[in-house]
Amino acid sequence: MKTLNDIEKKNNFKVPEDYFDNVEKEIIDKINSDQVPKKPTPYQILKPYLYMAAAVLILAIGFKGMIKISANKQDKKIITETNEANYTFDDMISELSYYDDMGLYEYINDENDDYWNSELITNDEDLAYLEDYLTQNYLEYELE
Amino acid sequence: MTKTKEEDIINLISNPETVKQGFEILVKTYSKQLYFHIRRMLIVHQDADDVLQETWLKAYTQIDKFRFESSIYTWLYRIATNNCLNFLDKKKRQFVFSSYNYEDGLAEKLESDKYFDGDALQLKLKKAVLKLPEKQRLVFNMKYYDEMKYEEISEILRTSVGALKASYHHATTKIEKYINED
Repeated sequence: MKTLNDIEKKNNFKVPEDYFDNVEKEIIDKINSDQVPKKPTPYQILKPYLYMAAAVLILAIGFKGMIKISANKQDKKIITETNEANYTFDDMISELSYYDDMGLYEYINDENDDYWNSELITNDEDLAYLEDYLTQNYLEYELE
Repeated sequence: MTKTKEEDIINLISNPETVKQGFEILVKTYSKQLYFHIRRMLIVHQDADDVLQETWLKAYTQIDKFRFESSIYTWLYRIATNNCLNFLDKKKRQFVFSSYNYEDGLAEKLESDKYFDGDALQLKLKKAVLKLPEKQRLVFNMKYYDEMKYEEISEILRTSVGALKASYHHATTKIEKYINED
């Protein structure tokens, strides 16, 4: 029966030649060259958490905004549906002021839009007014 | 290291203007001991080299956390030990879903390692040590190879002397059983 006492106690691990001289020099050089990061400041420690908090805040604001837009659209639909009979040419014209050139083009050509309704243009006077309005406010617009 | 030398180093590292000078003395004094402590745990030279450097850089950045009630030597050993355990933990996590046993792999590497120089019995001893749980392996290495006092090991591993004595006893029993197996 062998015991630990029967085994010669020696360090069996070897290292490459000049390893300790080299590694000591390497470590000392790193420390002296200030490559080693200093103790982080409280701001550096908190930085990732601040970024996370900002991201959560932005997401929350965005989410709230989306809910608001969705609610507004819903409200508009409800108003349209309930006041369809009362929606007039003047209302339609006043809606135009919310759009820039590109938006206006999309607005007028969107068949599914609840507001733009060419049937509301019932007479030449209205058409002339609309033409004037568009020419004055939207330079690139040509009424079809 | 003599008490006076340790006091001199403590004086140097507690002063921001001489901290680098003090650290240089520490590196030159303890690198060898720390390296072999790490190497005995990690077996592979390259891994031991990486962890040794990491240990020194961590020690340097955390020098203000050094409590002057313990010796620098035990403080450095504690950092090296924690780094070893973290390293092993990371390595083992890579094989968590496979049947590969990291320690068995190390034992195999040892047989063909050009930086290992031992006879058959010494190789069997190393393999037996690799069979021990990590903490028991640490206790065995520090007591058997580094010939540390239980009180020093207790300070490094933050374990009671009684528990360490029991751990060492269990370790030697297991090792002797293993080396007597065919």
